[in-house]
Amino acid sequence: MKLHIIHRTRYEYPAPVIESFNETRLQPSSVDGQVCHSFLLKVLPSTRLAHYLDFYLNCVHFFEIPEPHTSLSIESSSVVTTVSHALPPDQVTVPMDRLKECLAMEQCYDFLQTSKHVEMDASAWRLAVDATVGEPDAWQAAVKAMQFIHSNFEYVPAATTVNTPIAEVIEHRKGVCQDFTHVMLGMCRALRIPARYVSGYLYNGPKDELEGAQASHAWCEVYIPDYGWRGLDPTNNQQADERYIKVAVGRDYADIVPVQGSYRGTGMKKMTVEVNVTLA
Amino acid sequence: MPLLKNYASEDFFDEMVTRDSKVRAHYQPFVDRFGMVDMPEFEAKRRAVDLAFLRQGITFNVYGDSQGTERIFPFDLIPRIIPAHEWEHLERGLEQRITALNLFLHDVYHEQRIMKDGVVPPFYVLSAKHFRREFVNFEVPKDIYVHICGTDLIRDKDGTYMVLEDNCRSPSGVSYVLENRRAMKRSFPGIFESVGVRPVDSYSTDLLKTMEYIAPAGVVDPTVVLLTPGSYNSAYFEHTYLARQMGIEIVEGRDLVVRDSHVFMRTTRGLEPVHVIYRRIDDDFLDPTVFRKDSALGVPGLINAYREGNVSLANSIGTGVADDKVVYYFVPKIIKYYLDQDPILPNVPTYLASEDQDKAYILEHLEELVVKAANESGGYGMLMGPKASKEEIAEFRKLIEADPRNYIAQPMISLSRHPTWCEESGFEGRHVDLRPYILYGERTTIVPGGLTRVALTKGSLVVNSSQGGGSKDTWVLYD
Amino acid sequence: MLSRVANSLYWMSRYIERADNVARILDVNLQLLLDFRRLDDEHLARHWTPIVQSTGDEEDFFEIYDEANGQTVTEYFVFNRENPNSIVSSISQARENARMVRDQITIEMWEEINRIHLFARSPRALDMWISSPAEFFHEIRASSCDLQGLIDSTIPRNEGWYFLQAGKYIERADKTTRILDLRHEGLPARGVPAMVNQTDALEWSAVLRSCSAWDAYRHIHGVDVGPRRVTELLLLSPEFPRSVRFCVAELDGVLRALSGVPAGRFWNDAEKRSGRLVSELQFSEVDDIFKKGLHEYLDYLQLQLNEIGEALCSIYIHHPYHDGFSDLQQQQQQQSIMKDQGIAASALHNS
Repeated sequence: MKLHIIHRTRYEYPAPVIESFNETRLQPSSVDGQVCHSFLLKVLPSTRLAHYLDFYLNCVHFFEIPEPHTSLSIESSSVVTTVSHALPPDQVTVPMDRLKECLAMEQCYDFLQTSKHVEMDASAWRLAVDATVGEPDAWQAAVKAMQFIHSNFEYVPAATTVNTPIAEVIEHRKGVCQDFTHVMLGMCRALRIPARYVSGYLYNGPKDELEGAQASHAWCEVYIPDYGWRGLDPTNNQQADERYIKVAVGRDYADIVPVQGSYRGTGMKKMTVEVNVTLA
Repeated sequence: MPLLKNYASEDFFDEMVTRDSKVRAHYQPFVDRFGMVDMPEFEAKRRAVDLAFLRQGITFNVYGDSQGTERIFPFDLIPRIIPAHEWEHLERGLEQRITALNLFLHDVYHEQRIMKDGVVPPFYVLSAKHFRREFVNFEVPKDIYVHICGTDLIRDKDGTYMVLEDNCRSPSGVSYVLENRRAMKRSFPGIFESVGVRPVDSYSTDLLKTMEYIAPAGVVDPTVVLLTPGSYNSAYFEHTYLARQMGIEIVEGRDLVVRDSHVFMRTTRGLEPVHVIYRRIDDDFLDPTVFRKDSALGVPGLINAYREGNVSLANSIGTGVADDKVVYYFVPKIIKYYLDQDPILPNVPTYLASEDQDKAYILEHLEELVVKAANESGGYGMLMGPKASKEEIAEFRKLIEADPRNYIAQPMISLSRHPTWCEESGFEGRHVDLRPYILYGERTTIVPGGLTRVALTKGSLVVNSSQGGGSKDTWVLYD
Repeated sequence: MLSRVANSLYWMSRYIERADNVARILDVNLQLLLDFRRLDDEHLARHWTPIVQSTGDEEDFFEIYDEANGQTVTEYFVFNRENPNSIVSSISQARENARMVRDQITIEMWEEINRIHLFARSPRALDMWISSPAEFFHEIRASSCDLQGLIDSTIPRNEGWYFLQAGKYIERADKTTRILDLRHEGLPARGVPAMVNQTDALEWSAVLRSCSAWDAYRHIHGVDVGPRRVTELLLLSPEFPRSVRFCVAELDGVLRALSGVPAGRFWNDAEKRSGRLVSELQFSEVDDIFKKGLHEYLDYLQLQLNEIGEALCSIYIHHPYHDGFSDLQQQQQQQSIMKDQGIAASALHNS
């Protein structure tokens, strides 16, 4: 599917602020079949833009705005062709005990550990056990984890913040895509399935185009020996297919923050975000 | 004054006397002359030195002390003496080690060959607390990661020197080396002159040269600054001391600003460019845009300036991987891999709790071993098996089972001892170690001697300043 | 020199001078009361309220205390830590700034600032204050003199020294105007004042004593103390070292030393203002000042001094686009919330 994405982030400050240093992870990746044909990042006030590739090979753009300003606008515009790596619903892959092969793989190591937002503790493990009920196949276990979250957790915006720990989300069973993804990561890692956080966008079909701004989305990718990384979306209970546009991967939200930085000045600011995904 | 009346080495290696209580040849000139100093003179000199240290503010702040009071680092007037040939051996070993560590760091942050070849299992590097993922594929000036290293050496019962640990992040203590020497020269000028000791005061010049060597390409007459967390830091005295000795400006994070990926100091004349930063702030606190977001000590944008090659940092970021206590286990293999040589200075025999065979051994022998947490410094988080209670041992057993990667164990080495003045009992043997300071720049320069730390409490093996240690001047002889 | 260091030296100097001046004002006024025969409330209020007004603290003061009398005013200005202008606060701030620039000052200076700071906060100070206020004030003033002396005799004449001087002269000039302003109630709003009665003369003597100007005055004018001559001495004298004119002339010299610009020209806003103020004071006559109104003129001087101080800071310490001392804020975009429509729509595509 060929898709066009516009992602606008705007900060407004009641009084001028200075010395703003920022990093963005907004450029869609061109791996595993997905191709980013074009990407433009527009920053206002205008300033020099540079980039580097981080440890997970996400493309990070960075810039600074030293002079006083009362607003900061960051707009990205990309055209991407997506592919689907979805597996048939009852796909049998490898037995759970082959997962120990992943421990030796460098590319999996980080995704089996506790990370900043995914603290692996008893509650995640218990949930994983409840969800998978002795499922012998690694992929099906991950799918079950995804389905479990979708059925048992409620999508409630504003029930959580960016720093809500997963133990709390598990207790109250409420959250948004970020939280569901973190919980799923906790569950998969407890089962020793390497799992990573993916940030990106979801194309919901022409209906949404009419209903206005969409949003960034978050989902999970799990590593199955012989099958590689495969995407699962606990918020919508489906595999990541060609409607999903991948931007960045990491251990959790902290590794993929779309826009972050620091500045000097007033703590009060207004932030607005707008995302629009359309067919290209 | 009878230095060695009733003094015996007992069952330890003593620096000054042999097993049959004969003074070692390289100490003889000192002992002879010291014999001519009487008690009142000795007392007077001791008091004078203490007073001088206090008034000059040669103090350190003790963490956890609610007053945040400053204390003098106690100084013992009897110097530790090393003969020239012994020092040469140490120099060669230390140079070999720091060269290997720098090559290791370069590899770990680029190709990772040593991990791919299985010599160091990747798991150990990836799980190291100070492995900085943000830093992979970064190009550093002159490919040097560790510019300043403090390596702790001890001697066992037979007098063999071994490396206890490396300190590759922000090693401190060199200011005491310099001040201790000044104190000795003032106290015993006669003895000093006649014995023939190699000088240490070129350290600050050598350090400055190293800083200048790594300046960004194309900069003539680079500006070097020392970045300190501020006056509440325990090593603040050393920061100001070194800055003054080197003739450079000492700055805090808020004095620096990044503009267009270049670093500047805010001065009364406007923004002045900064090219090299000798930073005494931990990686985590350097740049709130990249590392800890709550760090008020850092400089936003600093890492980007570093990335673009517009500023150089010493030590580089991410060097903590090399002084990780678990990576220490692999250093002999690291030396062999990059330099194809056997280590000149051996490690202390070490067991890694995450290697199954070692773990079994450790759990069986907890009462005999010293167990350390991989990432604590300053002597906290440690179990001294032979001296621990049953509860402490049981607790550590649980900790090790829960998180094996975080623990290493070593047999309790009977550190060498040195006659030291003890208030109540005269000259007694106290355990010592040695921390030489190695500068790695265009050449490797090691200040002759280094800091000899002494555990002032009888029988104690803990030499850290924060836990009741003191120091001695270290003399390397010309021959 | 680092801006932060210049800033600390400037403020350290101002706070040391401030503590000294507050001590002077209170000391002299307490002594003065002993000469009065009537010590009723109204009289006391009339005596003490101007002191509170002079530092602009009237509002804050009356939030804490019901009336302005010897006890409340002196307590407010000596020990009250909420009052940033009190002696204890000023010394505390001086010490805090000194601590941050310890390597710029000598160890004797540090030890003295530390000593007086510890003293001011100790029970001993409180005891001394109760038994003999004069002794207490003497202690404070002696310490300040000591520090000034140490600054003069041990600090090399580098940039740091100029910032120390700038802080001192701005503060000193400012406090002199406030001391002079204490008695403006007794004067006509405009016009040269008539000769004064004995009580008023005593009060004007107190003004002189607060500035250590009594001997200088006597030397020039003899024993007849009156507002006109006092004002002339304290504002316009080119020789008396605490006069506003003297201080501003020194300040002007210091600013030029910092920028390297010769007299008669200016390079920055601070110099422009100080140069202008110096000439104004040079060519004024005291009668002109009274015709305009003393109180208003003093307000005007305070404003000018304030602006010179701000200009100095903004040129050398805070640069354009910098306020290095304001808080670092974090910003990050959270992954936003998917609208409910999105969820409903995706339900159609359920696998």
